[in-house]
Amino acid sequence: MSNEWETLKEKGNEEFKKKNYNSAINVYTHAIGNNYKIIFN
Amino acid sequence: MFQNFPIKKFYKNFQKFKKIKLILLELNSNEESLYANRSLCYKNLGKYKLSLYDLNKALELSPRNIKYLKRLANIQMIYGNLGESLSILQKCINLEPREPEHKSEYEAIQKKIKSYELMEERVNKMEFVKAEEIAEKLVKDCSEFLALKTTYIKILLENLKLQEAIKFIMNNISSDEKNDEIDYLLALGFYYDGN
Repeated sequence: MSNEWETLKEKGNEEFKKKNYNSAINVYTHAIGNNYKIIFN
Repeated sequence: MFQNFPIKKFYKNFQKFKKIKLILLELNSNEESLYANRSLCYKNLGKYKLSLYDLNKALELSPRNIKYLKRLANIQMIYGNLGESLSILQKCINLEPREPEHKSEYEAIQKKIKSYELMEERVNKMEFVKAEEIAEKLVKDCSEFLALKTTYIKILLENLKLQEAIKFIMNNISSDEKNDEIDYLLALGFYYDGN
């Protein structure tokens, strides 16, 4: 999961560097949404 | 689909139901960098409200981050909140007193405040040509400052730069910002321009 998160972050940064801001926003949003996990006990 | 789901709020509310134990696991602690990066994207797209929202999120998680504080000072300047911008930069100076860049940025905002006051003085004295020069520069830096943009339009109309005033309204006033005063100024521009 952590690796996936890092990959998303890197992908977002790459899109940002290419000035694809809307794509970068989508990737960052995806990464933020995947940063939490709920565990029921 | 659930990307905007307010998970932290949900978690807080859910904790009220004691019967079920719920654990919220944060997988990566440097989440603030994502908010900060997304904020930059929004800023580059001219979506300043969203940019500000994300930057505040990043600062909630990392309140002493100089880079984020300086970006916040910049967005506050764009909105014309020059006093707020100054106090944020003062915070940066307090956090890093040896960094000369913070001081120079602080002084640049102070200069803008003086320019704004001078522009108002010129307008009050009906010196619209001199006022226009100052307002034109300020409007470029404070592009979301509606009161300043309105004053600039009035100055252009006073200087009989009707086409410029109309063009400025069309290109720089968003539909969210439009109000009766702007509509009146636009109508005035068209009327004197002979349309």
